[in-house]
Amino acid sequence: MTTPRSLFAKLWDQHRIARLDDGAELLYLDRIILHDRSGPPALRAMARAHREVLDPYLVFGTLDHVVDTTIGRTDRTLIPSGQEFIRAFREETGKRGISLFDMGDARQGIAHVAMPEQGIALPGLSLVCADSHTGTVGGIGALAWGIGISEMEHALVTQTLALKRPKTMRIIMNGQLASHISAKDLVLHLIGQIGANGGVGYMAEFAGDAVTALDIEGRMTLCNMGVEFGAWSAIVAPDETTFAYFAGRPFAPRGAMWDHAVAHWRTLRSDDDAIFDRDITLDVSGLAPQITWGTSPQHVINADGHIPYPEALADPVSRQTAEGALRYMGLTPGQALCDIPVDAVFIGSCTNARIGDLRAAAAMLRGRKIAPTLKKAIVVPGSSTVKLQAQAEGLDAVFTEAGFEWRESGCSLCFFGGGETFPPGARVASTTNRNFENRQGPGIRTHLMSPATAAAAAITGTLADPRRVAS
Amino acid sequence: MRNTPLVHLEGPAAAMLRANIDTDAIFPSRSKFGVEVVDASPFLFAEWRYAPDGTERPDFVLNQPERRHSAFLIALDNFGCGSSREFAPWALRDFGIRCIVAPSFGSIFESNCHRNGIAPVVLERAVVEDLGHRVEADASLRLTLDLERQAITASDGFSCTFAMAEGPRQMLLHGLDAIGLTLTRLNAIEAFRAHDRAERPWVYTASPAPVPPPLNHVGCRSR
Repeated sequence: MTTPRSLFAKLWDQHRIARLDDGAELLYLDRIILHDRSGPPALRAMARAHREVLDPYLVFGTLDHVVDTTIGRTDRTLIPSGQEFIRAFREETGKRGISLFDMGDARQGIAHVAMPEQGIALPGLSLVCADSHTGTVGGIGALAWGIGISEMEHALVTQTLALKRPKTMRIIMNGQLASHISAKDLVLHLIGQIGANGGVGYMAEFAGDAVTALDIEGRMTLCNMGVEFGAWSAIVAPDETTFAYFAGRPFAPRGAMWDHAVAHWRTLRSDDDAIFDRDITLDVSGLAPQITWGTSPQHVINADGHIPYPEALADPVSRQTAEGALRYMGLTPGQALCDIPVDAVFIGSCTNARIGDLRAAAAMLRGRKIAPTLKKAIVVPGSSTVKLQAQAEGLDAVFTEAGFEWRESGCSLCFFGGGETFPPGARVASTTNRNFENRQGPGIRTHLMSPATAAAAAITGTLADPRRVAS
Repeated sequence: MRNTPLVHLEGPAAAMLRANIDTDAIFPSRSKFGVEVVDASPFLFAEWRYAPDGTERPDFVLNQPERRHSAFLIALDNFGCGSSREFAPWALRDFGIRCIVAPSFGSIFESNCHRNGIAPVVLERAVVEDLGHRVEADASLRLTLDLERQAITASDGFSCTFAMAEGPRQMLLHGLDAIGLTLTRLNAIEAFRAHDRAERPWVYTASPAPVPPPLNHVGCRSR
């Protein structure tokens, strides 16, 4: 009898080329994804060392971090020296025959949105990108993780990485989600429970009926924030929902090759008796919308809640961190979250800019106007394909009639790159993944939430409970 | 060889006893830098280190005269969490910090340190706090890292040992080039690929791109 294995163990074993003397293992990489910020330095470093890409056909690049998201964008970017990055990226990928999804190409978009959408990322594949949110792609049942630039150089030259196997944790979420509750609320709630370092050293598998009920986009939102609780990466086992998502995608296998692939993908699930190093079970029925109040994703409460009192925290480090967070955020313990005015709303990022996210926000906004007090409200589609789809459905008109600005695709204001930001000191309702100090600009105060909740905040001009705003 | 070998390190230290210090804080993404970064140290902790007018904030620990040449940094849990940007360890390295002591690290950051000649040392939180308080109390305190013995000592008598995975430790000790090491296994990699291509043929059908990408509206594709 064979030992029961987790999905992660199956994928890891399948990609193992060798066990190394030091306890690490050499893993084969099926896909290498480059973006415009980390791609150019990695390719240049490789060239300086007079090395070449082992298999350029397994490498794909896209513009997302540096490229502007304003309509009519060109190579000249708001981000300082962005043009140098974009041109170096084009030059270095072009020389090597690496596919690059450039401006004007419908396939361009945020790497973690565009690659599954094109069928370049597929279930069961190993995939790396020099970006910490690469775990997003775990939502399709791929073994995907974020790496640094030196590791990227290693990946390009050898199509492998040597690494130590992480421990495993299984996060089971059971229960039926109420209306206006999404994957973003699930994962924010989880991080509030286990902390921003609750998964350090672990590969997380999400399971349970609340997870399998999510569509592929929701599963990607869940896995996207694995890194925000410190996990090495995260995954959801592929199932019929996954196979249906990939059928007919541009780069997905076809015909007999498709059948062959699906037969393999059906084996990609944790065995019933598989042992995990850690198990977490959450009942998420009745979960309220979640909004962060502080500067770590673990600083999260129900939308109808109140700013917590740091002195109630037993751990001195958590207390000190919470006090610092309240100072930065300009908030007072005991304040009702829904009374807090916001200055701007951002709907976008690899967390929440897929078509389902835009539909959820548009459903809230249809026939309504954003609060006149808002200084900025923008929607940035996760890929150019998402943008075209949204336009075909008329969602762009819903957003612009409500008062939002409709953008080209990219990472945009998820992070401040020295170019565009929000008005000084602005409080932002944001569908992104990080509420760190200065993340969206110097002194900018970020509140993380779902697209429906951000749309509700846009209407009221305050942090809001989407269940009350929807009515 | 790729990095300066790190066997023995001796020098002053700075303590930042906060949890979850992220790579956005270590190297703010607004920093103006080109594709090839020569010296990332001016951007290190830029948001905390400089006032909006660009002058140094005197109360920030690395701006204090005795701490400006710190070789060690002591911090709390999950140091280097967040963005994968390798500019963060580059900024630390270029500033002169070659050993960071914390109860845990962000996983990509930890790996980035190994590849850039910085030793990320994991110790129990109570030990880290003890060491951090000693560093805060005495600016003249000097720390020593002995990576062969896997020990950290201080000039006031503090002493402890730590564990580090053997692969990363060897990489640091010898300044090894990880790519060169893996290239010695190229035959095994090619054999794996040949076998895998037969086993999972659909993995290899994605290329070349089936649809030629169109020109953009400003005609700026250069391929």
